[in-house]
Amino acid sequence: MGKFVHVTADRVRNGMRGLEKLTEKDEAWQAELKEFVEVEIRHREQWDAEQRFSYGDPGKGV
Amino acid sequence: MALVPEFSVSAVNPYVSGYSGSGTPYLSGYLLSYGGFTSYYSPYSIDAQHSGDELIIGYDPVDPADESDLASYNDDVYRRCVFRLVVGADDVRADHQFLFVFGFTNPVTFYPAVAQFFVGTEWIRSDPIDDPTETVALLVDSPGDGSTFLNIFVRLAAESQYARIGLTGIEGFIL
Repeated sequence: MGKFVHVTADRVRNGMRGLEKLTEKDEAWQAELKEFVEVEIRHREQWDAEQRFSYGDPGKGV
Repeated sequence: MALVPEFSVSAVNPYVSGYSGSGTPYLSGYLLSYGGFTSYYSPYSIDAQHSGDELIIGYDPVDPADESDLASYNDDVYRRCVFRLVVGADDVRADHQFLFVFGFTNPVTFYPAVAQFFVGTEWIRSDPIDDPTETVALLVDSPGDGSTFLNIFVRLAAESQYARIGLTGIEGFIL
């Protein structure tokens, strides 16, 4: 059986503001967020590097 | 036009990014869970959950009547039975919508189980997971332009500590 719910932007923003209040008290979450961001940046760098390699990089003479 | 997911995350594939070059809107999905349940017999064994690419949580549900917003990570999330999806959204606009499709299981339907959905700290709704497999779709409006991290928590609520729910995966789309 399938179920569906629509979450409006107001509720999303409310929830995010609530989370910000929690994070002020919660150093563990700050560390987790830092980890997410680092993974994200590494992934983008890797993806971009792979694209450069597959298309060739005249500047580097691949 | 066929919808292509930005990510599809599961126990064996907990991080997936839809990044396809800078400037293009994309989502990344990070799957976390707290309060997992394993036992030596199927389907709760680590082996069965691994083979079925499934996470099962249980043993410390909240009271189904407790639908208050999250007030503490420690008391309401980390010490409970929770699936958590962190979504990194980048280069998105305020008029985008995100669709998240959750694949749930109930390995022990004899004990009624409820999945409580939270976006950030805000309780959104509670859905009984009564059938052996259930699909729940969440359509979430983009909170604004640019980049953001969304947190979606799915917490187990039940009268009985023997209630369990499983997660076979979550897909995320940009609409």
